[in-house]
Amino acid sequence: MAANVLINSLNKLSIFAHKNPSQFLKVTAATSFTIGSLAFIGGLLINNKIPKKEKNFMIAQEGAEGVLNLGVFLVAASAFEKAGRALIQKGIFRPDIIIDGAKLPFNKVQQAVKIYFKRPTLLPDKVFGPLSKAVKATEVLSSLVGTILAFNILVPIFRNKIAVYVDKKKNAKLNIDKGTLFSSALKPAEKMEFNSNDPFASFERKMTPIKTPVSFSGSSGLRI
Amino acid sequence: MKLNKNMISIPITQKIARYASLTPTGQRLSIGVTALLMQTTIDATNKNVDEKTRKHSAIRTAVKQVVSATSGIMFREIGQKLVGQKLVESGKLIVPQYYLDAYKKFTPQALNREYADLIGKTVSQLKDPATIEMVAKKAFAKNVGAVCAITGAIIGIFIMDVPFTNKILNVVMDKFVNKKKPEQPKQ
Repeated sequence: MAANVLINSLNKLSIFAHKNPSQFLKVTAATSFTIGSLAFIGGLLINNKIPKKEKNFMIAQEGAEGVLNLGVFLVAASAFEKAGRALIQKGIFRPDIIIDGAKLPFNKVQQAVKIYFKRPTLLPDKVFGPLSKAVKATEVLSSLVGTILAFNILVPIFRNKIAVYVDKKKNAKLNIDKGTLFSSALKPAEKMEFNSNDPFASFERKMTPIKTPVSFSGSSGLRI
Repeated sequence: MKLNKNMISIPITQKIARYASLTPTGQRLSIGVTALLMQTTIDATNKNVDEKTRKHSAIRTAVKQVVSATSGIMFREIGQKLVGQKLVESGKLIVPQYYLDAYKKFTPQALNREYADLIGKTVSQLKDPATIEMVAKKAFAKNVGAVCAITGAIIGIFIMDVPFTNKILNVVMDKFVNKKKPEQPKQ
């Protein structure tokens, strides 16, 4: 019984992969991402060695990164796939259709592309096969290019910006919690050396730079 | 859009179509390689943080990418070749009618080109002309392999990624970053 279910699902999924390869790419990547993020969050939850506050923060971070990855990926992959299809329709990408050893001329290819996107059943089989293959290949490649750009450029940049923002917020929050914001007013006035050349020198010495960024890098990243 | 002679037109040749039929392994490899190069560069040139943090985060990103790509590729290969394609080629899975119908209307030359693409050779290297059953079986094997590859990758996340990523990260960070200068981290 279970074997039948397994065989049926394998058959159905493989037919899906053949019919619509770019959609297959998107669905599988999205699934492996989501499951990866959930698995990491699960791993954090059952880990007893991390203190609770830090654990909550890391879970929130991992969850946010998972959502960011998924969202950026889906948007970019779909957008690039549509762009690839549009470029074929406009003629900038030209499918090479070879019938009986001869290459089809450009204007005939354009006619075939127009019919393919409106009523593909009208096309003769000799033209439909290579054309459908070229269109699917373009969709997959543009989707892949979009994926690579999304993960390698957009997500790291967003992640770094969000990390700085969260880090600032976290430092501000810690200061309020510990009461240093108010207790500094109660301390005796410190002697501030006045340097007439640079009156603000003493202020600079008191400021400490942000040493560690928020570790969005504490999570595991892409798991496609 | 009016066509004129000056318009750029990029042909989608058979070669390009072949790159699109990458297996999940190939896709993960291309994403992994580009990620290793580009994400590390972005982290190493992040203006919002100081020098030490930049170095830390660049190395961290590089190690994470290498670990997750290695495990991803390994499990995908296992799923694709050892599980999926073997199931079909040994006859345990019967080719569904959809595949036979899909290739029924192909001319013999088109069948040869499809078969050559699926096995990764050129048409001139084929020994026998390809039949519909051969092409359908190869295509089915490849797609079942893709499904098993993704399943393997998901299983691999639980086996390898979750337990080992942080451990390997800590080992590398201790060895390369917290040690003093004589051992430069790999550039």
